[in-house]
Amino acid sequence: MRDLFLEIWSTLRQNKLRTTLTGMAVSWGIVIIIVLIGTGNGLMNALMNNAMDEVQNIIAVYPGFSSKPYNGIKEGTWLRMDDRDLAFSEQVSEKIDRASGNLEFSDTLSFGREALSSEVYGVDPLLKDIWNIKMVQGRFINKKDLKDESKHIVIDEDAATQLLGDDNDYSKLLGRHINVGNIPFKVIGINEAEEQSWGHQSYIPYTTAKTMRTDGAWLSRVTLEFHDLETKEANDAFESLYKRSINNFHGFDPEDTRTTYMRNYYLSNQEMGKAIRIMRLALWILGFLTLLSGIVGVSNIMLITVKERIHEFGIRKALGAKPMSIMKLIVVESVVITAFFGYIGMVIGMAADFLLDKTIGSHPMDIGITQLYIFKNIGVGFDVALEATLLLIVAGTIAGIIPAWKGARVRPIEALRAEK
Amino acid sequence: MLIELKDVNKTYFGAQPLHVLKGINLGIERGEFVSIMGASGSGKSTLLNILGILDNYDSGEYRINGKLIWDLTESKAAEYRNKMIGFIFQSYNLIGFKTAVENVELPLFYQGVSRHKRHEMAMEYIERLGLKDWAGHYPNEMSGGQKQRVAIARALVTKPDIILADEPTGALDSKTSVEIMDLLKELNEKEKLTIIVVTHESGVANYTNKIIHIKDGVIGQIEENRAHDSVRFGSDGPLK
Repeated sequence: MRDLFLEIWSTLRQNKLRTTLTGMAVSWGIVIIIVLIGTGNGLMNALMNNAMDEVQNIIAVYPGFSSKPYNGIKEGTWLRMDDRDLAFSEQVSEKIDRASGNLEFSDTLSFGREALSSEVYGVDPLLKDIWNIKMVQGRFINKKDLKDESKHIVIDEDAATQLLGDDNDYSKLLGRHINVGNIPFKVIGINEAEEQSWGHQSYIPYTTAKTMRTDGAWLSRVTLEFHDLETKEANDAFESLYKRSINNFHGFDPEDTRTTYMRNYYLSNQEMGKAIRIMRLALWILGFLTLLSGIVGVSNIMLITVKERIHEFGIRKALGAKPMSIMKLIVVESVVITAFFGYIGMVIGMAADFLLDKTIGSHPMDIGITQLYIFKNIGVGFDVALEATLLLIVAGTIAGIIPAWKGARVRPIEALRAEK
Repeated sequence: MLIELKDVNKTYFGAQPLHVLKGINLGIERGEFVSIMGASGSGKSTLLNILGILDNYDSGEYRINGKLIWDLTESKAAEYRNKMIGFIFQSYNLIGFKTAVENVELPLFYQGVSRHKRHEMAMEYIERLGLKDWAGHYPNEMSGGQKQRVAIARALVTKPDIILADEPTGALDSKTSVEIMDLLKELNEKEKLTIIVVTHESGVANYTNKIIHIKDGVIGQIEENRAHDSVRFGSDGPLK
């Protein structure tokens, strides 16, 4: 192998300028691929705001309004769900493992002289992953909080900063008590503020929230944990069964589909994954087409090189070189050129991604009513670098194969006759 | 018999089929120093290509050391060439971007000899041909005679059965030509190498012990030339 590379090095040295010019086309192709995929990733990151990493077996049920009168229930009646619905939901199908509820209301958070208004969510611990809540200090609501109906609260960093007044070190709030309305709650965690939201969100245990509602603890959302609902058909069947059952339970028209809205996270994640894969594939194809011109260039140069070296190959063959060894010489040379310039392109591409991330990736666009991130975390991962490496090796081989075949096919007597 | 040809025929099929070798019968013993002489178009180059396993023949038999050379794959032919034949060409055919010693190493490379070993072996032959100081030089830094000596070292390094020299002095001046022919003669006498020289110059042929005349694709006269008095060297060329 070392001999092979020494051979290639000695031939490459002779055509430095030509090889460099050709190689630049390959570099450019890889730059395009890396920048396309990097910004593509950035776009998707911003769209999903780093949505759930794992596909979870979760269906969210949101109560809605009846769309037609039925049996004394007027059109537009809200489906009021509470703890009884949770118990009932678990009975609807053996596929449901657990049902948990969510309550939400607005209240005033206060600390000392500072106060602000916040949306307060009574949650189940599993919402942390579903809503992709990122903790910067402390922890999220856990099962024990739920069981103990503890007066624990998680607030976002903006709220924490605001409550502390001039003091910007919001970590000082951790472990202190703040008031929700006039009930003291201990701050057990501070989460990353969402960039694209209006106002604040705070989280307390669902069970605690329930006790605070005197006007009825109506659920804003029911979360179903399930197993075996992994196809669209199974999900649709389950959805209509659930809607009919819950309508019956409340005395609504069993066929009214507007009373609840359901979302299967497993399926939508799957769909999202599919969309991302298609988009990535499209970007790869675009990049590959750009790279293709580079490959054609390398192939062309290799053909010229082979033509120039016909005499040399003839000598080698007369001295005992087998066709395979000539072929290897040319293909490996082609791969070396492509890989070398490809890597230069990869470095430039990654630098470009880094620059883009520091510019358009770090500054939100002002769209009038709010600020919006169009790109987030522009860049490619190790996987893309690996895939690009593979692509380069394949590309180099493709570029080299026709010239190599021509070189290997040459008959020594004809080659020896060739003008030097 | 080291080399045996029986009724070897070769036709080139072009627009007009050309029957170049018309039943060649020839035997060469190990240790012989022979020349094949003929004018251009006589078929001597074709015969050389067949002897060197660079080309195939249409009918007949060609054996080296009893081994039939027929219907070989390209790989097999390359292997045989590598092991059995050492080539010396008119235009040296050295690889320009390789140093003298690297050129000599090349046949050993294709035998799979390790780097260290092949350098050692190549240096040995370079020294024997008096090129020690030139080992690291590239062909374009050397004179024609030096280049041809590198080529001879390259032909010898694999210890082949046959040395095939195709117009070995064709590109050299008369003084250097004499040197090279003396060298070949010495190699034949001291090392008992089998050397076949293909030439159209009678002066070159006169150096060999046997002159095989080829004309119009058939072997004509075979001349014993122990006395080396057939033709004075340089009598039929403007330079020599």
